[in-house]
Amino acid sequence: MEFIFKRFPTFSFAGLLVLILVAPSVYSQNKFTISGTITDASNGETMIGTNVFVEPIMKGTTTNVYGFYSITIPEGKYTLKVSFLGYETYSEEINLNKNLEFNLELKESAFTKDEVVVTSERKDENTKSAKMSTVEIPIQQVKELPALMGEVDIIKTIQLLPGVQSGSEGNAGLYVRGGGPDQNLVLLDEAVVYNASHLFGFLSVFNADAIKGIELTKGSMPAKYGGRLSSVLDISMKEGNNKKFELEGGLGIINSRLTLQGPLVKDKGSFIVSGRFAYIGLLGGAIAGAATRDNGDGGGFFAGASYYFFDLNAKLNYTLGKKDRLFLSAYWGRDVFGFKSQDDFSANIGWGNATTSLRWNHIFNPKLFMNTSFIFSDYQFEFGAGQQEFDLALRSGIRDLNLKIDLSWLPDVRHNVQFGGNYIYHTFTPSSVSARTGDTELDLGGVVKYHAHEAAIYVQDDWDISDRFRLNVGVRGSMFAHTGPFDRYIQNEVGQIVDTTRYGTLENVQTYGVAEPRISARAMLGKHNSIKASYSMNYQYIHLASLASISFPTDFWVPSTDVVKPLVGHQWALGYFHNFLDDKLEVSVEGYYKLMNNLIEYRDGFSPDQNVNNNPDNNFVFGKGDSYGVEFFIRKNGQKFTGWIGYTLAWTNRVFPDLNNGNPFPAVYDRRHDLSVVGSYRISKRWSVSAVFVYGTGSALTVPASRYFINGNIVTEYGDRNSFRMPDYHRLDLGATLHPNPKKNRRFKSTWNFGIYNVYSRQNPYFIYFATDVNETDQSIKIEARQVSVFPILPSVTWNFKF
Amino acid sequence: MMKNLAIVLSVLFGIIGFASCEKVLDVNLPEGVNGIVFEGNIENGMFPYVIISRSSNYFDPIETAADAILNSLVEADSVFIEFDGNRVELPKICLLDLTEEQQELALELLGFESFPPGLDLCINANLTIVGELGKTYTMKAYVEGELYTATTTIGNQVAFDSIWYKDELPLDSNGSIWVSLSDPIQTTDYYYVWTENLTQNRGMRPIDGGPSFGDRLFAGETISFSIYQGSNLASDNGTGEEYWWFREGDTVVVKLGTIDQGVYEFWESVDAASNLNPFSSPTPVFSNFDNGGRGVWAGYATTLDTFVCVKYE
Repeated sequence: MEFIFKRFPTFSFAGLLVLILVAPSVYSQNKFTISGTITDASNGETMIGTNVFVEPIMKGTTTNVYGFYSITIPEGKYTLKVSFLGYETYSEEINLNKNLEFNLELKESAFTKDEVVVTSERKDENTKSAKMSTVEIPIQQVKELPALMGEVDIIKTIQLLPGVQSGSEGNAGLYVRGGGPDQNLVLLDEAVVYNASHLFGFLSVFNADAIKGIELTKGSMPAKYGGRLSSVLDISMKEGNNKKFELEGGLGIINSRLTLQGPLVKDKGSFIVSGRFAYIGLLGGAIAGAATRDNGDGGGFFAGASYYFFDLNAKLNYTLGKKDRLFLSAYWGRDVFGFKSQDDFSANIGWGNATTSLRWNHIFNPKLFMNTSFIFSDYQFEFGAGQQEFDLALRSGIRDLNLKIDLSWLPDVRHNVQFGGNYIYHTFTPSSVSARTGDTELDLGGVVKYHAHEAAIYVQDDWDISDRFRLNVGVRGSMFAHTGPFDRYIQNEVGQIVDTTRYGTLENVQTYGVAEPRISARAMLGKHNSIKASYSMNYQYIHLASLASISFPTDFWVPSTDVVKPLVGHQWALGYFHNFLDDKLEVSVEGYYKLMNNLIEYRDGFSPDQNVNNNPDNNFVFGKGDSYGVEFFIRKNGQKFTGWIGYTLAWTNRVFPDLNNGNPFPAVYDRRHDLSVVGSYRISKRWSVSAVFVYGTGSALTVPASRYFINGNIVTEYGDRNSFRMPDYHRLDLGATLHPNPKKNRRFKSTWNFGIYNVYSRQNPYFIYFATDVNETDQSIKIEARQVSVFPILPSVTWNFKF
Repeated sequence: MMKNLAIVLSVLFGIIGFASCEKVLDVNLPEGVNGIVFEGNIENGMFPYVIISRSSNYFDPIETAADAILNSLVEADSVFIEFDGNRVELPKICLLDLTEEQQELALELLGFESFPPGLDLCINANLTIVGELGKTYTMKAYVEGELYTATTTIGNQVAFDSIWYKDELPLDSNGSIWVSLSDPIQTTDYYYVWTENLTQNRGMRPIDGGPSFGDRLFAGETISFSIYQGSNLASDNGTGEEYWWFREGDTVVVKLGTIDQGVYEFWESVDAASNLNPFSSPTPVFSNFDNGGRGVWAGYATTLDTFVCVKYE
């Protein structure tokens, strides 16, 4: 931020605020406001991103995440149009001579009833909005695409977008524009989800049956979001049908789902409860048999293994009156893995998230909308192991209490001012270990908790300066304080702890604060094409300490401290956007450059026991990274055929003075080429088909360079960090959905989803390892590189029902 | 424990991978640096020696470990050790210069007891002196015109309080040896453990699953833990399943050594480099030699116990 002030001495937070608040008055005349909420006529769900448009002045807006809109325009006669693709466009003549409240239930288009209609946004939003690097994915499209073992997965669909990568085969981690998995703000009804994966990363925690909207911001982050460097994945849960009761569910290979929704009080309040349960444990015998086929032990050894996971989404909402509405949403999920071997070794691993959001919408007046949220987020990981007289227990986690206020002020049709603030109280349990051997309790420091306070205020304006120019400008002031109780262990130069500084409860350990500017601008070049540019600065005060190259539930969060500085990111982006075929075909090219400072890694030679009786950050080393690339995106919206082609050409590098001899090295997820081709086609009212093809440059890997013998055994010396590439990744998936009896107006409806994952059974690398085998007969030694692939061709079938 | 954790991980990958498959990959690895490697040893009551070799490219062809070790040996220009103001040379000594009995003893000491007869293994050693407790030894090795230096200390001896055998599974004769260790209160200590199985004809080997450890987690306390026997590519007939078990009736020599921090860091890094999970970033192997030398010059303050594996009720 300092350099902004140096270069633009008049720029300040207060100055920006004055600019935003004063600017609308320049236009003040005799104006009135039309406002209201748009809902779906069939179930009462509020509709996000509905286009509300006024002719003949050709001005409009879109509904917010609560379905609310507000347009303030001069007195006069207008035609109000409300449209959302797949729904009947509503049109009404209005004589605007006073403020109007206009709530509307939008009906599905008769033409498209029961058909797959996929769009993500108002049709020209792509070119006309000042936002860039933002993609919305319709949940219907997510459900239509072929999925690994038939498991519909939001995160895996998002990985098909340009600029977004997965960590490895089947992994539900997100790597956005060269950022790590900890740099994504993943929100479920505003609550942070700290670990969005089940099954050790193979599935995400989001149950598509309970989800209404998904928006990914991978750059140019609006000021209302903060605390992460790379992206925001904002997921909204359904509110529940407030017209009638509905039960839907499905049976899949891995899990089964059931969702119940219905009115609490018709048209005033509703609920939804949705659960998933994975019964891998019940299939344990068969799976273990397959898994141990090569080991020749007949699965007996593995018979002691069990695994299950579940998650539950629930939401209530109630309209208190014309101006007030309450929402209570919750998520609870858990993975549980257990193992017991014949020689008395046992291990239990469990992890999961719990979130709760209580939200209150209040409309102060037609121009001022407020949402206040109280949010609880929790992620816990536990590991226990024991054998005979040795027991080990490990736990880590993070828990947040978050109070958040967001206001939208829409003074006239050219401004959408949003401002607000939030306060988060973080409690970290970085890594607490207890162990016992024989009668001796090992001194492992007990449960250690870190405490921190994070706060932010922001203001931003989406300013439609003229028909050609639009600006989204904002600033976010953020601060973070790490407070006691806390023990700082002081190490000498050889890593021995020589002293301890003790901080009392609430005593300040370290405070950081900064103003983060965000700006993006659009210039229309023609009716259907525009260029956009953006700059954003982001601070991130929490960090994920990870020993692995991909995200695991064992990773734990730590706060910024006196040793760990906040992550700082700067991102510049420039893009060209062009819509064709009446906006059915969207084409965009975006280039970006991102700088990241104060990245953390464990130092060379670290082993987890060195965190015991020590501060984990004493084992970190610090560095910086950059990432740059170009993303090409072609998206087809429509009723019959939808899909996209995304291609990214990118570079992602890291420099750590204490790693790789201080030389730059590529990040593990540096991927030069990344291509996704995604398509769904509605053949008839009964059948639709879909296909996904992905291609990506192989992941970067550190490999052995040389070897020598010590004590008669081989010692391996590794080459430069991440200097080797795994084989390229590519895969084709096909899917088909059958809607039996689509014409019959029956209450009970069902669909069958058929899928083939990895159609040509490409052996994509999951990991590569290097093995030394000794022939017991002649003692000859063979050294080999071996590639392990986990998912060959995998057919799947899922049955879904609804009544 | 570590071994079992590895098994848990493999079960996990088995379960989530359903039908995972594995294939040998033909990869062109980057050229390695052919560095000079030292395996130097000085122990209370034992003569000092160092085996000097050169590292090879990772995929260089290899027949047997014995063959590879012999082929990688490097002849030093000269090697000295310095202690208490003295400077003593470690001259080159070759197996074939020794009597048959001495050869056998030397090979056993070096852990190469299965070396085919007739092979000429040359090391640098001085049979006229032995390591002494509490002394610091600096090695200066001149190899191919370069000087490599490392320093180590033989610290204080610590002995196991007690040793016992435990049948892991009642159904077979496999078991582990349990030991009890009282860590000195005042000092930061690092340990190294070996076993020699006289019954199974296994020479002195570092134990399996991490022979080196520090007292960070049990400073000044008494702990008991199980140990499993290790193996050696150069001498053991493979590392097949269950090589780590002791058996009832085995006569075993258990050796406990204290080591200094530099030696501990070397062994820890060797252990970390050989026990990687497939997603971790490999870490370099440390050395207490300067000038780019690999390996270690290690001083050990050792105690020995001979023990017969008998189950007690």
